[in-house]
Amino acid sequence: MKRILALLLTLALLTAALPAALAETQAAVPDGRREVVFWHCFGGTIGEAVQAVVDGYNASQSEVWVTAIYQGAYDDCLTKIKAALPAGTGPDIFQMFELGTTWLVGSGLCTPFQELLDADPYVDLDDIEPALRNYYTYDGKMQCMPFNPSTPIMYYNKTAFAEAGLDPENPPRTFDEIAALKDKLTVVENGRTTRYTMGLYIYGWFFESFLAGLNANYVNNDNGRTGVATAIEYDQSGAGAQIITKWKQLVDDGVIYDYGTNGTDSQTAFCAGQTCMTLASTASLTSILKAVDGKFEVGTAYLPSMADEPTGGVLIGGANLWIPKTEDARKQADAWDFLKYATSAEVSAAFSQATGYFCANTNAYRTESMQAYLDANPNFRTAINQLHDCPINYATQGASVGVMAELRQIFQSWMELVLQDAISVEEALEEMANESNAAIANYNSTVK
Amino acid sequence: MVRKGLSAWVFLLLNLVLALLLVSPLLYCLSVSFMTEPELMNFPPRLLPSALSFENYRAALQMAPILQFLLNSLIAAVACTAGQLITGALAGYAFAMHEFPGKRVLFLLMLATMMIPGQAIIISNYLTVAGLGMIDTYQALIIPYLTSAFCVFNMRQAFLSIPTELKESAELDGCSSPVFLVRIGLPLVLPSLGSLGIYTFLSVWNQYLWPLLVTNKPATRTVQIGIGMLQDADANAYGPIMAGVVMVLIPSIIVFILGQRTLIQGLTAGAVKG
Repeated sequence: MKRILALLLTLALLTAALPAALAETQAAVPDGRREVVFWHCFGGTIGEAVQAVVDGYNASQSEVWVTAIYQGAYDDCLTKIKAALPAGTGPDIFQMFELGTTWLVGSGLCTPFQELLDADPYVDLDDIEPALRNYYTYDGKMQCMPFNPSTPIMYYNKTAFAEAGLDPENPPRTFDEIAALKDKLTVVENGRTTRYTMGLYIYGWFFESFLAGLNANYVNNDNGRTGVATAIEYDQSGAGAQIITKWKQLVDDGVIYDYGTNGTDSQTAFCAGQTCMTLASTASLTSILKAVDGKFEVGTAYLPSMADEPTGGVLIGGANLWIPKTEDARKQADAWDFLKYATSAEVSAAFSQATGYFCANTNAYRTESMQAYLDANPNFRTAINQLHDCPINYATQGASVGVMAELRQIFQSWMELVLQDAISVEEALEEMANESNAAIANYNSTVK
Repeated sequence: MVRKGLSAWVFLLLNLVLALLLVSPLLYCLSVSFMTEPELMNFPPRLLPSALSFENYRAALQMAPILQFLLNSLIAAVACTAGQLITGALAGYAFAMHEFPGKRVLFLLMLATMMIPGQAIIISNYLTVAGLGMIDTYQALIIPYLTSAFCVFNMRQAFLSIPTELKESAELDGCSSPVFLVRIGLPLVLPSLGSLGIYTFLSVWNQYLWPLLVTNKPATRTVQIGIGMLQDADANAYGPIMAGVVMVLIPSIIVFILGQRTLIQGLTAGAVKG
């Protein structure tokens, strides 16, 4: 009893001893300003870049004050939005990643971006990156404004390419070409492979991008764009089998070293020179360059294709800004004003340079700062070119289905078993279809 | 005698090796928290930093108000622990040593709540808390966790181990039931209280989703959200994350050390005496 009491007392004392001054860690809304609450999903260095955008806005005018609040990483943020918006305790503007799009559109809780834009055209709709416009257009209206769009790209070790007698300016465009480089790039010391041709991890986004590259849909009804999606399609079209089989073959042949579902390991290994190529988001460029620290020259290239010929199709990721519907027109106008600022040419150019995400507002590329930056850092240009070269069709538009985050999880867990030789490709596809279709049916039954 | 000494040494050595193995991730985390970014990416990986760099700690404190979060977590965890121990002890005592109508049904009902996974009711709990206007308050962090069926069940089991004769003779001597609980009952179940206290403290300390849902401002947020704030979706800086983890771990380690003896007593209570 005494011990417990002592324990509680110690803790109470500790609690009291911490200076109360700590309570004021967040800048309060200054007098005379109207507050706009902005929820976002970024911690770390990218979180600092987001805060810089907010600080810039607050300093740029004296009417509105934006309070930026971190709400957990993408998935947690979606959970929170799903709880808070219907309860009426949501923010005035928020950031949501691409997999939350269909749910948000279906909920009808947000004002479509295009409606707000029509009333106040701060940017010409044609100046918004076409691939992004295409991806986020539902019911003929662009629903949200991309804030930090990205695509997967390939990173490769130019120094290793040159040492192996390969042309460092001519990276492989297909996985078949990558497989052919195995003998040149793999390093074996004392019977142990110390450097692999490629390092890869199981990430649904890559699989979805490979599908887009094969011009294959993820779900039926034209990826859910011409009707409500009722089932996945990749198990029926043969594209899923083609990708999974080739992926597994490359791992079995020792071309690809498989890092399971751990993206950070895959990235760290590349930076340490243990793998010569890897796939990652465009937004990883800054951290990869920092981690490599000049040990070798880093190159970026288009996402390699699973087909025999390079296709150029790729799938968009990243997050967008949404403005919830509200009775308070003033509030919505203030949130809109912040959105305009955050996605303006100058601001998105600066944000892009700080993070490696690209700009939805293509006017940003015409700013002087961005021109100079791209000239100095040609690696940043790859993502932009890849996006411009991306054919626009239902496959690259991405799947519109309310449970996309779940479908991605389902793919990843079965894919892991395939690479571990625990089940065959056919069995895995069957299980993926069973689970995915059940999840889609369950979702469809709740929204109708 | 010699043989016994030898086997004791072997056991000690074995224990040391196992202990080192178990604690090695923590030690590595501590080591990484002092490394610079290029050192972290070194291959082969380094076990120790070349110099003690506090840069990661500075970065972590700058990225997230960790000290404020530590305070908030401490308040929430202490309040929840106190609440669960008090309600658990009172209810457990009643279930174990009192007879009243409906006791069995009530007890089963309470046990049934243990079968419902927390995730299943987290959204409805959120709606309730939001409806009460408690978003962004300590109350939202604390009130839903002031009592737990697990705690009541455990306290009941502890009180059941006290012979009823003890209570009967105390009553004969004129000891009322509340007095019996405070003067005789609680001291006897002290090990259970201690272990439950540590368990509750740590589980509240480690909560993530609930505090994330019900808080928006740094003034009420807790440490696990702080760790999340150090992470990126597409780029991870391990140095600051590990520095944050080390800072967040310290209070739970203190609690564990302080309560260790009662915890071990609790785990082994009745193992020998029967």
